[in-house]
Amino acid sequence: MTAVKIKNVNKIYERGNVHAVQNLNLDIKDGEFVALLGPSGCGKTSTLRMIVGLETISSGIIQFDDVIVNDLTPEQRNVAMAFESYALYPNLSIAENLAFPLEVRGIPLEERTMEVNRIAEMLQISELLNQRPGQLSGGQQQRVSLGRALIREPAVFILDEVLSHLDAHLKFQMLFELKKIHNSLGKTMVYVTHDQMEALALADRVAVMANAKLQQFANRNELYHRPVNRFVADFIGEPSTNFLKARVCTIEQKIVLEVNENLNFYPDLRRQELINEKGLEEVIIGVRPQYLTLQDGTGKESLTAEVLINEYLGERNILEVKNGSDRFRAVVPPECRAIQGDMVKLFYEPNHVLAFDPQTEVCLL
Amino acid sequence: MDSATNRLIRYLFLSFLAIWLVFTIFPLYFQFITSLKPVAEINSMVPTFWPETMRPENYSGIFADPGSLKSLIDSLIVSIANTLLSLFLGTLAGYALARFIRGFAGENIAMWILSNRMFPPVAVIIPMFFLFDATPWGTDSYFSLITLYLVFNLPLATWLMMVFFRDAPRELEEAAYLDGFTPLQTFFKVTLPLVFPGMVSVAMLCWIFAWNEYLFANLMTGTTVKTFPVHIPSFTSGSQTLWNLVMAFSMVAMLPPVLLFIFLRRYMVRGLSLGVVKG
Amino acid sequence: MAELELQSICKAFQHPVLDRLSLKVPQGEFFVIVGPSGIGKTTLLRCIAGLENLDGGKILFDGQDVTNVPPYQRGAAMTFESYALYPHKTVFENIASPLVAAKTEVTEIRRRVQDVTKLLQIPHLLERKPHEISGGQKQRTALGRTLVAKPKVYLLDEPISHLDAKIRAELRIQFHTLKELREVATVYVTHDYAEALSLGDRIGVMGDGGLVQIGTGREVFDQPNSLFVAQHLGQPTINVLDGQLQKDNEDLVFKSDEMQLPVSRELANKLKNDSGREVKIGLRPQFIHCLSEWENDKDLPVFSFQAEVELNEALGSYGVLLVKAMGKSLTVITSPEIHYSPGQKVELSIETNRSLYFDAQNGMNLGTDLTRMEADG
Repeated sequence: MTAVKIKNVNKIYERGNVHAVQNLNLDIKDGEFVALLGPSGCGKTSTLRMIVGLETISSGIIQFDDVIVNDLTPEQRNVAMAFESYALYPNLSIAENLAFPLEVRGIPLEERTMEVNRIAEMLQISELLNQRPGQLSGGQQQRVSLGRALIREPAVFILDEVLSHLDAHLKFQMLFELKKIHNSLGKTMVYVTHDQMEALALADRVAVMANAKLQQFANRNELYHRPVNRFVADFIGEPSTNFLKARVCTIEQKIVLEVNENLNFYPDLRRQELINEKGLEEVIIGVRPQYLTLQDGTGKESLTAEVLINEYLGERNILEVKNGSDRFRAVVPPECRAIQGDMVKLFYEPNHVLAFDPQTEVCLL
Repeated sequence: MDSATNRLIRYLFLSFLAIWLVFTIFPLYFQFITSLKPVAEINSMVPTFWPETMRPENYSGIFADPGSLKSLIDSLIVSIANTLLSLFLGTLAGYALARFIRGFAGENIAMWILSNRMFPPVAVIIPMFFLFDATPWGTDSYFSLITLYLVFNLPLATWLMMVFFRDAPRELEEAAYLDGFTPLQTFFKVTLPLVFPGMVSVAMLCWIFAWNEYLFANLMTGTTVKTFPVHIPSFTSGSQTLWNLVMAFSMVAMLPPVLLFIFLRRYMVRGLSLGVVKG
Repeated sequence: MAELELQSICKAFQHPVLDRLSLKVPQGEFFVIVGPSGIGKTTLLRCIAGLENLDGGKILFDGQDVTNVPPYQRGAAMTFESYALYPHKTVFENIASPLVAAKTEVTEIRRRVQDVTKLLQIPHLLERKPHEISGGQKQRTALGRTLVAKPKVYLLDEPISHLDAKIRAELRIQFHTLKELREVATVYVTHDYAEALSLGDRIGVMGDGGLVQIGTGREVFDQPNSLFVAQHLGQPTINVLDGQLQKDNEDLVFKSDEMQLPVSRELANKLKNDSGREVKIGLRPQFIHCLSEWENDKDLPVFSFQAEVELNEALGSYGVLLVKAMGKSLTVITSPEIHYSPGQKVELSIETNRSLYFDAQNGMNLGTDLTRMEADG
């Protein structure tokens, strides 16, 4: 049971003079499941390697509970890690693979066998124990790799893109299994991924990173409804948020965001105030495609748009629409049969209209 | 591990490297200084590590014998011809083995070809002599040396080229077929550029073998054709070996391979790691 | 004119991969083949391209038998899953390659490559080498190489599956808008059902040996002809329960332990003599609702019951609920905004008209030849 504190941590690679992680502060609670999320090159892998102890820390400190671990080896930190590539020993059986970390520590055979059986049962791989890694499917290998990390009873458990090359069905299944494992173990887990869906599904809190900096560290609802900046709003959610440039107008003392002469957005009171306070003449509007719906409701505003593409995806459709020269998307039910050229009326709730400062791209909250 | 132990290991490692460096460079160094000494200094009981009297004339001295220049030219002719032939035949054979003969059969044929390289050459030296003696060109000819060296270089060239061709993604060739290139065009436009660094390495290996070979050259040739390793023992005066001339000649003989290596190195280092398909 | 026809083609490696597969793709059709990995989708494309020899059957382009024509004379263009760009050539040279092979004039080559790169929004990359560009750009280059050739048939092998979700969505739109692809016959292979539904004029779901079902996106998703198709399309995967058809008074019901679902009238008519038959039922997660967040405003027939929450995950735009009820595990789609904690009791409703019935032995859909209720009721 360990809390991980990262304080003002920097990572500078002298070769090439790359500042890979800048002034990172993260407070991971005991037993929390945290995801490090970001596009490639955002610094998440460097961060992970510093937590594990595979990479030196250029400045700042990393604490496990009250112990500063900067100069400790991965072993001394008691961190376990599972890899994207499984990294199983092909010449050992599954049981031997699982027992390996214990064998290294000189734990007697009997105890090892007991532990292996316990872990195998938990991960439902008991019947595979005598096979070799080559005989297993991708999902099974990934489970073994998780098991090998779990068997050491680590203080902190680190998962590096462990699901990224499983196919969609299996990935979905493994998401639930991982979550169950975490629920039953209650261990501190750090999950690194570039896939926002995985991060949101698994983690209690997600640390979104970009350009070597932490952008936002929050739970799913915060990230979804109150993204701190345009990057987060864009990166979180699928299909990604619609961004439209708009002029700030005042009509009957209400602030209206004019995208073009036929398309206005009506933000809620709170945002009207914020735009007023900042004295902005232009903003960037952000609206999630999920919040542009075909269904009217109380307090909803509406707009019309011309359908460009109605993309049928089985459980839902994505409408690619335009109004004037502005293009955006809406998620609608699969029953929608609109075709190219049709006009549709889309409804939204004013509080789902996000506004960003066009200079700083910071969200007005 | 604390940092003090780390540093100690680092220093130990560095000193080991330093010793190894001296060990490998010293013979070259000694060859160089010997080539600049007079004979008397070489024969003195206490060896000197820098010439007390400089004799750069050693270098012009070796070419006083017209045979010296001729032997270098002979060596060049044999090495270049052999390298080009090995490369040409090895590339074609390697491609065929890599692409057209699959599975168990392919492995076996390739292994069998390579195994030619594994028996001791001395075992066939006498039969080879009689074999070449029976040809219209005789033993003492360019033809005999060039073809004889093929026996040793071609299996290696074939094997290595096969490995390089196997590493070159087949999908690129298939993409070229679909672009409309015939198999022959595809081979020259797509496949060869991919294995080019490998070809350079193979060429270097073949060249070095043919350039330095002594045993067969000494037995088979010596009059019409005389390569430089065979020429070296002729630097004697009476019963005395003129070590300074031997070393000076060796220095000169080292130049072609060294220059070639410097020139071709960047192609070799680039290797096959062009990040070929995915990324 | 360009039309592709496959006449019962066969191909086997150690075991049969394609077993008498027949297919006709008319000019202008975008045909998508979807199926699990390793089922032989790529082999099928390679056969059409001429990279594999057939063990039997015929391939026709425009009615002409090309079965024995080598790939470089066949006139099919193909993108590879790995892109297969020539690493030693620039983007320009890569795209120009088919034109060079056809000995096109230099000025003509330049013009056509420029047209294609403008269309694909990569004109600024022409001088770069493949290792200097991103995955999405590589994909566009590979696509450019196929488009520039003006082939008789386009073959696209998992062109976007290795890219990030965002670029995938972008490129899907690109495929929708490229008119070039609609001028000839196109066969597109993917393992991603959403991609298939989005792009395909028609879709072929591939199983062992061949195409299990061919139809429009809505047909294969709403009326799968077999359990295999139903399980392959949709995420989370469809819930499948084993049970039995039974008579309950005059009505036919599906019974599985304590669960009892009424069978829709059309299906009941068809199966009225099948009481006692073993069946599997397929329930899509989005047709099971949490009563607390769903209003049955269209008065759809439902079966309601109580369940216990096992796990709840909020994904981006929807939540997934794993529940246990009546001894069964079910997956349910919920709103991502509401959190359910493990152990909590919830009221669930199943839309009974949306359930799919399959034969327990051969997995065939028992209702496919019925006119099913239109999705929008």
